[in-house]
Amino acid sequence: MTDVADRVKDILAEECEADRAALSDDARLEDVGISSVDMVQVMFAIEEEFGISIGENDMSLDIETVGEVTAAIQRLVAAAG
Amino acid sequence: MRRVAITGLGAVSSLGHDVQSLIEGTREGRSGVALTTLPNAELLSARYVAEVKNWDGAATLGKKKLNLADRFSQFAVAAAQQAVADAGDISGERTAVIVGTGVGGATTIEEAYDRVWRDGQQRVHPFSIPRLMANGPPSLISMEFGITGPGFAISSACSSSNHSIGMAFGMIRRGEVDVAVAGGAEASITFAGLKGWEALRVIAPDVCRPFSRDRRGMILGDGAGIVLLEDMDRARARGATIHAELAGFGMSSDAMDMVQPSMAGAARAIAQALASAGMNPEDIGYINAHGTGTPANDPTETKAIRHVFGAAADKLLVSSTKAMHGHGLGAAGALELVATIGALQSGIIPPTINFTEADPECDLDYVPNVARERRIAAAVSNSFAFGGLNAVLAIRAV
Repeated sequence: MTDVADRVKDILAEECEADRAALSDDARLEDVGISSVDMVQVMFAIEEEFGISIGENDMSLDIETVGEVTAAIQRLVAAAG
Repeated sequence: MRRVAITGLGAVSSLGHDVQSLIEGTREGRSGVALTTLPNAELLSARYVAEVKNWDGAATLGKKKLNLADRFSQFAVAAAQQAVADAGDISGERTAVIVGTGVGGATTIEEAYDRVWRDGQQRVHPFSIPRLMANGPPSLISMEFGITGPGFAISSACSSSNHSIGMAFGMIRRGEVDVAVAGGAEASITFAGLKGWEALRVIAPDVCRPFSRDRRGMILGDGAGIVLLEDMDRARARGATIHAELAGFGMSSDAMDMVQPSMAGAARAIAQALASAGMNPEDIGYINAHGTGTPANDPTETKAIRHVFGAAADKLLVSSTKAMHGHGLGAAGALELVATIGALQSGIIPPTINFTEADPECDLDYVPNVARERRIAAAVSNSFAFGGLNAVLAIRAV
């Protein structure tokens, strides 16, 4: 599962041109320069990477921290088994 | 009415990613035409195209903005960066941004269809919608440079650039804005797009030979051309380099046919451009023709030029640079305006390449195959679109 979290952080860094080292779990997306529009692109890349589908209720666009993103994706990947 | 200076130029074409490669390439008779790089080219009969080569969109926009920009918008932003850097100055809210396109985000649409219908995928790229919008270029350019005046896209197929530049010209002339970023962009060389052109039977199997008796059609191109227009007094006051004066603009509709050109419609647009510039036929030294190389366009355009210029037509030099940079559709007029400005500045008229044999129906001096040295004081650039919408620009040396 830490593997999933690391890959999600790689995608955040890649898609948003964010500093990978700054993406700690408690880092706020806003503070590392990731906007809600960036997250649309991130969710697309995550869906492609993990072969999952992120529904309306799985992760809201007003999510605040990096840790909340990775936790949501870990849940979805686990559920997809 | 105010006069309008052209103080900035930008171009991305099959001849290269800058203005110099377009002006020098067309002067030297270089061809940007090659076999398409698209997969499954062997399934196309229209497989020779003038594509922009080795394009790196991320270098122009950065990765984040690239996500929001179709290929045609990437070309437009790159050309606008060149034009604004060349001019050296724009003015936020007193500046307009008007950029035309014939098709819009063709690559984005085709990629989405491929995913959904061919690959059975359940999702398309999340920015497919903002990418495919025809107003991608004016929107992205306004953000790039903080332009807060009027912004919009114009679509009139092959006349989109000239209509956009002509609209901007009018707005500056009337004092509605002081500066405008104007031009056109196109990137519609996709597999399905080429199949559409193929079915219309207007594409040459190998090369484009405008005005030549054995011409067999056009060669599709892509790219973007952008010019920076400015109130002449403002340009002079700030000591800007003025490439040329945009002196006149004429437009007309054929009200006749979706694909067949009309002599009368073309002639009206040319005559109006001259009248708008306050110029007589004998003032014009060079016409950058629409010159698509189709059987129908070239004799019709020739007759239209003869109709407007009368006896002065025999002194004119007329060439089509489309044989070199391809038919850029919505980008065509702006790319050709840049080439025409190059001719006005250097006194070297670009040739019509691939010319083999005179056609009795095309009886003007088309500068066959080799550039001609001639100092000219003024020039005209023609665009006549499918759908019968015509737009003609006239420029003057300063």
